[in-house]
Amino acid sequence: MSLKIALTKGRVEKKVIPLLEHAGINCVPLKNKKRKLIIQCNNGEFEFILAKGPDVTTYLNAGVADIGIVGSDILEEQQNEQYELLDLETGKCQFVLASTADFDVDSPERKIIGTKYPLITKRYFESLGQDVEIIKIEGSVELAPLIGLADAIVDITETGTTLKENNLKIFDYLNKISTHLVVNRMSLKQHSREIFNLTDQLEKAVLEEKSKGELSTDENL
Amino acid sequence: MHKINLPLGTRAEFGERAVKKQLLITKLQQYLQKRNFMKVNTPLLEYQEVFTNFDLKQMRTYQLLDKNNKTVVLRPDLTLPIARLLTTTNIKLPQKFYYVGDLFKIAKELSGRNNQMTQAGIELVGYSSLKAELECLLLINRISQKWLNGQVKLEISHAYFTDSILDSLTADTALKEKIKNELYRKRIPEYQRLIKRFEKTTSYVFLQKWPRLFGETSAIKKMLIGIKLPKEAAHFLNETLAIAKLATKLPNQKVIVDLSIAPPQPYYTGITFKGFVDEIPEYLFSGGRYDQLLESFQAQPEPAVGMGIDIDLLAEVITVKSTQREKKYLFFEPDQIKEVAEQLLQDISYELLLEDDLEKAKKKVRLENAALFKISERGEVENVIKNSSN
Repeated sequence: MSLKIALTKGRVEKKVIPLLEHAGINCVPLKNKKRKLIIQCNNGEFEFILAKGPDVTTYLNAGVADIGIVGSDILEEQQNEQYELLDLETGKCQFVLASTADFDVDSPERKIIGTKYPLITKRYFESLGQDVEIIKIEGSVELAPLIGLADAIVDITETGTTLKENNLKIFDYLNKISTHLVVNRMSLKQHSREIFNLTDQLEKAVLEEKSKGELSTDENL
Repeated sequence: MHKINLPLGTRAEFGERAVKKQLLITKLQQYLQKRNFMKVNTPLLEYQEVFTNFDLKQMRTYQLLDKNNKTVVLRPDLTLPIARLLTTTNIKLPQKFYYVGDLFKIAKELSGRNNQMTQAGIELVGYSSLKAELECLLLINRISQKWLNGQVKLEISHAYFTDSILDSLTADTALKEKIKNELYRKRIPEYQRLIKRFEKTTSYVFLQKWPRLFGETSAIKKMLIGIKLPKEAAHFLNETLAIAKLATKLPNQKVIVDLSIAPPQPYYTGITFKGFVDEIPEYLFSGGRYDQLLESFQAQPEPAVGMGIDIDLLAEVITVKSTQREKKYLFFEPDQIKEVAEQLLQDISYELLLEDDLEKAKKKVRLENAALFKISERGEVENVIKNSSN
């Protein structure tokens, strides 16, 4: 029996591999995966499934993966129902409200907000007591206020560089984001020893990496 | 041509799957009938109020308005309608009930989940004895033995354990709710942040261990060595461990205890239990004691225990031995209808051939290697083709 781990491919994958190695997983097959999407590690003890972030939660909810490694932004937007056992403290970034310099967050009219995260945006403006119109955008969210599609955007930023380069200003900081380890509820019952072992090893790895200061490149805003 | 598809979250059942499900339901009903349970059927539609006292957020319902503009819902739960029934009729208690029926909950769109589910269950109303819980566990064990090779694991919990710990910790209701929520969802980073404020108290060791407090009884006892629980919590723990111990006496039964899980429904007031099989990502059985439920329908509180069985999931995973019998066809002419009726009275295993002429019928029967009989002119059954495997 191997533990099935749905790993968000791309940036999350790259940042998490050192932690997995630290936790005793031989990640060579994962690094040399080429175009393969299912990769066995440690002689089949772990099976990694590479997926897009939002699909990681779908796999977990359907019970086809035991563990998911995914950004907390997606967990929040998708209203995750599974167990969040660990903050891997990598892939750190933050939600921001941004727009062109002339935007006024306190102006009385009903604003149009462009975002990839409608639920998080809705909750944020509700907390301000404002009802806004939300336009779901799939990519290059920064464009929305520049081309007149929206008054402002709610998006993720790591360093703020893209926003700055597009002459956008940050008006407010929302939730902080990092990569989390999520576990299917039933899997935790069925494979508790294996899953807690991995979680404990990863927790140690996170602490050690932190003390080495290796995560300082992962700077917050 | 425009074809009309099914609404999202619904499915049609046919063929093998439908047969297996029906067979399961039939066997289960026969069993419960023999054990003198009373069958209850409640309507699919109920007034919304039947469910409003309980967390409807967890169960988004299909709603519609009746003629008087009152909201009716397609029932999202089968226990509450029975509680409603008991408060509006004079059914004598104590009584053991069983039901099989469909319930409706709206799942997230495009998530691959069904909105219509079939559930069977038993409700033992008017029984305060621990034996009521045991009757439920006996049924789970029997299903496990009969259809699941004894693979079902029982999980025993107590609906009040969490509150008894939190009440001894703080009077801050909002904080208690937050901790409970994060504990139940096992959002460990957030949970740890919340319990940090109790770092200097004697409860802290327990609080740290709490999210992992599930497993075999011996493991739980080991984790609790050196920890003094508040009096009430210790009482609920002992009750849970006692039931778990009894459950291990059932034939071929694995039992775990979970002290960190949310009760299956908000109306439970005592021992709760669930059953699952490894490698299947959902619970098959879930139930518990709900002594206050009838009171919430303005009736006398009545001790009760109930449990539900996920029939769709169970039908998917059980191995039912299908008795493959030899196929035999009967060909007849329309004016032989009387003889056909007489034959079927003697032997119901004939499949009637509806083909117009005998030649066509023979072709079909040969393709299937089946046997063919026909009604002769003298009105007798005559074997035309013998089964080729004979």
